Amino acid sequence: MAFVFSRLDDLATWAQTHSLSFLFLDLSCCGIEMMHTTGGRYDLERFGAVQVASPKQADLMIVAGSISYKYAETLKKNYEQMCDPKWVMAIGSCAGSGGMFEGEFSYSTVSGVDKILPVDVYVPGCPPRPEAIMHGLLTLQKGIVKCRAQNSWKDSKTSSPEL
Amino acid sequence: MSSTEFLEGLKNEFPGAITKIDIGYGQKFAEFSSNAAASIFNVCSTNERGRFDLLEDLLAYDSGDDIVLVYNLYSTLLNHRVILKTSLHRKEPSILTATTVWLAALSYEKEIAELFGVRFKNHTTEIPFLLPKDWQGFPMRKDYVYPGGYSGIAHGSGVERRKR
Ligand code: SF4
Repeated sequence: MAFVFSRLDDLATWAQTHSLSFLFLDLSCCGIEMMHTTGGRYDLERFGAVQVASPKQADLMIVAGSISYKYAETLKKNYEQMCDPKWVMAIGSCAGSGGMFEGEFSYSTVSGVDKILPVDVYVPGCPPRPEAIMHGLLTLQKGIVKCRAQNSWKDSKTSSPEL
Repeated sequence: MSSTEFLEGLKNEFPGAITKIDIGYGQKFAEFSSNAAASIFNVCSTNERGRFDLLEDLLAYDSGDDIVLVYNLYSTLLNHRVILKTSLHRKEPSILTATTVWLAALSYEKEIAELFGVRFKNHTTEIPFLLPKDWQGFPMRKDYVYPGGYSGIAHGSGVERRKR
């Protein structure tokens, strides 16, 4: 019996990792690269990731670009509307650490989305190539499998095991 | 009709208000005192030799002592352009709005009001434009001190950068 359930769990994990619906926040230039990735040439949808319009349907948030203080509030609200389990991907140096707008270089830019939300995968680059973004998504999928194996995905907010 | 002649005419008309006429970098500049803004804007847009019907750009910079406004005017009818400059005092800089003459000034003025703290008299809207409502200070001024953070988010990543 245990065997059957563990196989079922594997099936559920497989389904979850290959049907990520993501909310795409296109905040500046990195967004263009992300659009390109979802477009016909690179086609992120073949990994099962599909873009949705509402945060309520999404289980992955992709933040691409620099975040201003004015937008930080909206970003938080969007994240709170997403159902658990949920993940966050930071695309580009700006979303990762503030990039070239960090600290003394800008008065209005948040130095990394991890100042506001827990981030699962960082994709560095200014901007990262579509291949890098796809690698980020595959890394996240591997991470989800790992998380489910440890059964820790339920509290994804507090613990995000190393991928 | 060239814009140089127009500027000479303008100087004769307002001997006190136009403080300087300059030609350089292929452009014609005129500096005016901000008290005479209303009549100068009117003359620029209606004068037969000027007919500046398009405000191409309105920008501001902080020269260290003053806040300087730069009006880039272009005449689509006579195909010439002129650049008007005016210096405002750092403490309570204020000038009459240009929106009554060129409506294009509307969003430029909002932006300058917010980032440099210039007050545009008779400007129609006072809503915050780019910055959050409770933002302190005018970020584009040279003496602006960066905030330590905003709404609970600390500013900067905390990593020391190599000094250049
Ligand atoms: S990391 Fe570079 S490309 Fe991406 S948003 Fe920042 S500046 Fe633009």
